[in-house]
Amino acid sequence: MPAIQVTDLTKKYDELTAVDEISFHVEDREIFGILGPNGAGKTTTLEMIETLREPDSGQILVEGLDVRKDAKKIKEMIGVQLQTTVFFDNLTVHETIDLFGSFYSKQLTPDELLKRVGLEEKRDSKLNELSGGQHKRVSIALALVNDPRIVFLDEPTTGLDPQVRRNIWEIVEALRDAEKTVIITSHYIEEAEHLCDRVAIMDLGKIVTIGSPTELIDRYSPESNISFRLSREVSHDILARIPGVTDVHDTNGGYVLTTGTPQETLVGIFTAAYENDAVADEISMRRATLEDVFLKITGKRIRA
Amino acid sequence: MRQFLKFVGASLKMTYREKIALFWMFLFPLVLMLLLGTIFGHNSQTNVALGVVDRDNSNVTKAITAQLGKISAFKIQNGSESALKQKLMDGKVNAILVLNQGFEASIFQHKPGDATIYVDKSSPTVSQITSTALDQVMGEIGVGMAKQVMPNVIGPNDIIKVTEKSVTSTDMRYVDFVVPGILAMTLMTSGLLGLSLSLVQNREKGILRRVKVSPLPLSRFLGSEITAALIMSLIQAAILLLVGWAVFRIHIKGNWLYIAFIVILGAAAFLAMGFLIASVTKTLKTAEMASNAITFPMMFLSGVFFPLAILPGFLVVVAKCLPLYYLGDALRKVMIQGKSLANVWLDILVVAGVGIVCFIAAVKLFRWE
Repeated sequence: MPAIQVTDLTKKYDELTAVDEISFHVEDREIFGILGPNGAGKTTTLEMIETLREPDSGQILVEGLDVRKDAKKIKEMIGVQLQTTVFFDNLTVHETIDLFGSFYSKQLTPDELLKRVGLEEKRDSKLNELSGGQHKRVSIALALVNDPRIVFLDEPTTGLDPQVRRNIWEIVEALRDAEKTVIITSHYIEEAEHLCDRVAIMDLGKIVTIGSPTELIDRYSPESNISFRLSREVSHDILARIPGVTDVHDTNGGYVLTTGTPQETLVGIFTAAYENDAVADEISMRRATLEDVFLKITGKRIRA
Repeated sequence: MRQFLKFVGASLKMTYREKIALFWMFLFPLVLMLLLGTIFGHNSQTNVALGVVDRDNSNVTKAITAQLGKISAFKIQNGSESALKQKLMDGKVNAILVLNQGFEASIFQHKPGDATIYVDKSSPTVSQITSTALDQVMGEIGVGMAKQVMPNVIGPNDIIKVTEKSVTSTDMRYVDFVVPGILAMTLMTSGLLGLSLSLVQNREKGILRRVKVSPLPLSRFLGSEITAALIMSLIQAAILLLVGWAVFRIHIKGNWLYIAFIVILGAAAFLAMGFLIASVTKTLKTAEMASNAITFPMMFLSGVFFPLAILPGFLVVVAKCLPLYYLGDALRKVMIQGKSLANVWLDILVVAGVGIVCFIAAVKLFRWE
């Protein structure tokens, strides 16, 4: 049985269809990402599964339980980190976790949770004394307070600097080791690629595709881009004849070749350079990312 | 139960750490009570400085003067008529009673004695109180006189007996009046502001949403917040009454259980009103404005600081439309006059009714986000 099964889920706000008949499932103990630009419907989808919002139509099963009928049972076994959460200003970190823990029938100790998110030294600080990254870590600790089977993280790293983002990734990876099912939304491509076993890409309320990051890249954007410089100019015709090359274009002083078979093309570049009395230099290769996949499917960038 | 206690404890802790809220909840009403009590209540009663001019200089008039002197509300000043009139204009004397020549003779002919009362109409409340008091006293003197048969047996204590009576049935001083009023006002402001602001703020911040994804039911969440607020109200009441007793020796005659009942009822009713405000307003700012728009008029128009009697008629009607009037009235009657709950059934009915209506509306209109 999948951890979550969503069928034909729809949510409308007045004229706007925020979520448009989407269906997907989340496997037990996988890290499932929902990737998409702002306004794609990621948070609305998440909040319907979390029982925060009522779907207009469609069905959601969490561990086999219907969100409409068994909301209370579902609430007991999920942990939720909301996108924007500010806490009671006048409580300490420890008191906050303790208070929220008391809402559940099962409760981990605040100290254990603080250790998991690396905030032991902030135990007795007030919430308004914490930095943005520390705040996120407290909200993740709160999402784990009832030792849930399924953890929802809604844009856990938005607005954080890269170093802090990596710290959060480590916490998420530890959840995988703890055999939790994790659903995470993000508009950071690297995040989805780095963390997720499978990714659903959303745009305008619809899921445009689902699969593991490598699967999606292979399916939609199998080419790599190889960029390099040559010591003397060589015509595009010659470069286009290199094995595997599907596209050639110039960049400032250099060339970029698109290829489906990078290894073959690399050899070809050196051969062509040799045959034309040129020296190839500053060679770099970039594999396609989910960004390219998104661009290919929707014709736009995730972060416009 | 464990959830409940923990939440109540956390709420109290948060309030305790909110120093500004503490000021408004505890210090402000205390300061207000001390100020009003000191300014208006340093003597046990409002004293009327009464100038007496005895032109008749007879046994009867001397007896009247002596009897007036025994009434603690009057401070008798003697002197020439012109000097006293000057004092009246300077505000040093509140009224002058002139007992005209032939007063005694008229009395013996069973006619009213001829007397004039001068008051300063520019300070209407004092002059009104004075002339009412004098009228009453002189009226009783007249009755006492009429019973006299023989002029030759008149001695000072025979002619008249003036018994002092206060306007209310018990002797109520200003502090006794104002402390229950301030208590009522405090229950109103902390009820209205305390819950509504914290709820709206928690909603604005998204804390309510975070609570909503947990299995904690709404009723328990609100119940804990309300319980914490009620506990604060009881503490407020206890501190106010304790200081009122220590500083002003206010006479608390009422049954403590009755007092606690009225305090909790009043606090709960205004908490319900605050809850309603939180349900119908969207932002902290509008919630603040709505609370102030309700508290300020009530504070000044409900007769918590001054008796309704001194207000013009239409404002009395306004006051009787405001729930705070009923809470103040109930507290005063139960605390100071020692009445039982049955005596203030109307007050209880109005306050409870307002609370229940507000609560039902608030639950219907409540939003998590």
